[in-house]
Amino acid sequence: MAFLEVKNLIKNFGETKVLKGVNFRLDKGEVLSIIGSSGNGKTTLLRCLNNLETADSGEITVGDKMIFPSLHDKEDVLQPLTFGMVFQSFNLFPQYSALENVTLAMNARAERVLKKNKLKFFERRLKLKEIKIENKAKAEELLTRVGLQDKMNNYPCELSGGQCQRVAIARALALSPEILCFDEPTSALDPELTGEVLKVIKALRDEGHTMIIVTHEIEFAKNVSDKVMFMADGQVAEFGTPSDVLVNPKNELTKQFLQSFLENK
Amino acid sequence: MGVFLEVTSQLAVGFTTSVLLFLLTLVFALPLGLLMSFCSMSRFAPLRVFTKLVVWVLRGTPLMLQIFVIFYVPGLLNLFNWPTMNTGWAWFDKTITTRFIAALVAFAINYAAYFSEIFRGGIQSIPKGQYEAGQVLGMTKGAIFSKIVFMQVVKRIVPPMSNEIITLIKDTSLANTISVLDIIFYGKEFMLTDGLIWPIFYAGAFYLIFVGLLTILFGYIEKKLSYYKV
Repeated sequence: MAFLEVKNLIKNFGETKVLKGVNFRLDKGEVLSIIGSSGNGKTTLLRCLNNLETADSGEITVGDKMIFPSLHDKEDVLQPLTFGMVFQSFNLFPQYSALENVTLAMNARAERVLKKNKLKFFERRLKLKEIKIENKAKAEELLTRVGLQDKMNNYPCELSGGQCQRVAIARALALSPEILCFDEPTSALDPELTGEVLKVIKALRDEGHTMIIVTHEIEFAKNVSDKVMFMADGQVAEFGTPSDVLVNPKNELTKQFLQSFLENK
Repeated sequence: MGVFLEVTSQLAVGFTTSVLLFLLTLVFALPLGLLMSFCSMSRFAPLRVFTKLVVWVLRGTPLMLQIFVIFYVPGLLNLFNWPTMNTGWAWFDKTITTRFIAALVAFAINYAAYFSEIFRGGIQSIPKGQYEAGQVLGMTKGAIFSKIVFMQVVKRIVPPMSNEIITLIKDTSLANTISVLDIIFYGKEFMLTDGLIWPIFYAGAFYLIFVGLLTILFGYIEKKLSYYKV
């Protein structure tokens, strides 16, 4: 029984068919890299998993939870998040420091959980204060893990792209999602800054996080992934271990893609 | 010198009414404007269209006319009369008159329409990624707006808002068309009963100083918010 199972996922934007029946499975603790040319549905797939887009049909299950179609919008605050997402353009909150970016959602969630408990107003404030202190400690630990212990109180506009992306990763980890998704995490970065972000992702793999990474870094995908998926024309063209897909591809499209990738290097 | 002090104190009394009208208008127009901006962006088409029509009328007709309509029409149509205050507190009863309340209502509605467009522009200028980032972190729509989007909107709308707010203090002078006892009303009194022209020009200095203070205040707010970029 696979941990994440996606069955026949279909998504159209008007007349444009973006996902034409995507199927794959992923086990817990595995890292999946999704590669392929632009416009083949990689990002849309991630967005459907994260409920940023609603698929037209298909099924997404994680463990024994039905994520799509049934569970959308009925999320239980007491449960950990199923998916986390790191965006290509970071999407940090500019008015908050690195630390506040990480604690914001944790604190908002704590407020919602406390509202469910029938506590009196002042008891709730007091409890929230305690939780906020715990969350701050957790955020400091997360930022230290991504190597930003010196930048906790800096605002996003004072950080480099690589540092911003590492804050974004810490922020995504804050709510301990079961599966962490990365949408081209290094595409918006200067080449010399990609290394620091990829290093963090590698460290997360070593800690056993289940991750899905849309990337153009073929070398990185080879090193970090347990599974590689090559997407073409809204479908899974090839799926397997890195050596299957990236070293000995069987599909013509995969071969062409890797060939052109090598030529451009 | 005696005349100058006399004029100054009379104008000052009038200007407190102007400033009171200004402040109360802001108190009501800012939240109302935010509400109207939400309505004008509503996914429910009738509400959206209705709000846009209202904003069109409010921005498309003279404020003076709107003051007349709000003050006279309810009485003419026997709908209701604007209430009078009888608190026994002389200053309050003399300042917050029926006329003052009608003017306040007209100003609040009119400025809410302008504010709503500024809010709408500010809200729509926030990148979608900010909402999405909140969403994937499991935040509710309300929390995303109040904790992520709102402060970014505030930063963006400070310059157009300061413009509008500076216009408001001068627009309060329109209230004297329905005999609200504002500073211009007293200035005209000196002209009509004492034959003094200069007090009405002197009144301008009150506005000028007030706008100077507002400019400093908004400069300070802009500086305060400059620690981040949106």
